[in-house]
Amino acid sequence: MIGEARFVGLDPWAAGRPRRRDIAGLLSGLFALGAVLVWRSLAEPVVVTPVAVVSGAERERLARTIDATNAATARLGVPWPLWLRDTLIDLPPGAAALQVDIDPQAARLRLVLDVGEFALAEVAIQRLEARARFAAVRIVAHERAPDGRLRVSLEGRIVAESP
Amino acid sequence: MADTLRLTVDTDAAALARSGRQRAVLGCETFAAGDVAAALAACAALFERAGVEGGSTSVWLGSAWARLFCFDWPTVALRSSEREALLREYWGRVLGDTSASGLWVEASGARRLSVAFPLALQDGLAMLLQQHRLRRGRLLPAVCGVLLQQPPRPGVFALAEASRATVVRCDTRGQVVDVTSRRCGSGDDPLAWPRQSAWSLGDGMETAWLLPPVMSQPNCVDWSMA
Repeated sequence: MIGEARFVGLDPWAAGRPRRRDIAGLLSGLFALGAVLVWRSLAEPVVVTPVAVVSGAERERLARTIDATNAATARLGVPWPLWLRDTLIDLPPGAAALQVDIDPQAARLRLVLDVGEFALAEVAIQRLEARARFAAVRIVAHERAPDGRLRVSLEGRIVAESP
Repeated sequence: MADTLRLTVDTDAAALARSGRQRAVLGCETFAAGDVAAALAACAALFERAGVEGGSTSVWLGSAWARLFCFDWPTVALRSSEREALLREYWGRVLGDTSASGLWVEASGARRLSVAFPLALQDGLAMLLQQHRLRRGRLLPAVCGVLLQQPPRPGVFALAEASRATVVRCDTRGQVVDVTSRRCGSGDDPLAWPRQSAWSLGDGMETAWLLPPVMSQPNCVDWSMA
């Protein structure tokens, strides 16, 4: 609004309301913090932190997958970690990646998710496809664990190389 | 989508309107002039009748409620308590007892506009908005609300209210540096004396009506050259 800063001192209700410049300052601070975090994350090797309880074997398999994919894509010159990062970061809260298989040569993604319900898997698919790095992501299998949680296998196609 | 509403409370009438591009008057209510309880009841009736819930509401109070005063402000930095004491001192000369008033002053400037709101009305309006789950927008003297509708510019502006007129002089930043508000007789043109005052000479004067003579019309018309 034009001249919004005028008469702020006359407004008894302004005290409990953040001013636009306060919000702008907060946002710029958050942006700067985010920029630092992104810069640090890009500068460092990819670290995958499983957000669900996984067995040691699965953890090792995940590490091997990352190492193997690293080695494969390094030869291809494809900056694959962005795919993996997108895959893991975009997962909705309550969904955890138990297994990630990325085959850059076949342009295939395979993902095993631990979710509480199918709706979360649907959300995960939407988010994976939102950045246009993956397409045709679909549920290919699922099983109900004894604790009631679902393990959903997703498969999709890698459609775009990372910039 | 939640509405952005504007409640305008004049001496003896209140109007609720949807602000923004789709400006529309949702209702008008009259009440006994100067009676806080009656004003709040009228506002409550407006919200009930309009059936609004959620959204944000700004309130403009006419000069009969929002008493205006301009004074020179010291250039030294003041603590909050000192600022409060100075405001009480200034307003004490005008109102006598300031205990029932919320006193507010502009944030910057060597000469500043200050306002005294009746605390009963200020608090009652806040509670009313809360009851209707409406967010509090801005609570301002009506003349300031109208001035905010346009870019800051110097000049003399007159706001005609139901039974009084408020004339302000703005500096180049659009800040009010002089103000006077005067009651007029029943049936008189509120803008008669501002037109004849020395302020309006030379600069020209722009005028606006807070509530129109015909209550069905949209309130707060645009400024127009007198």
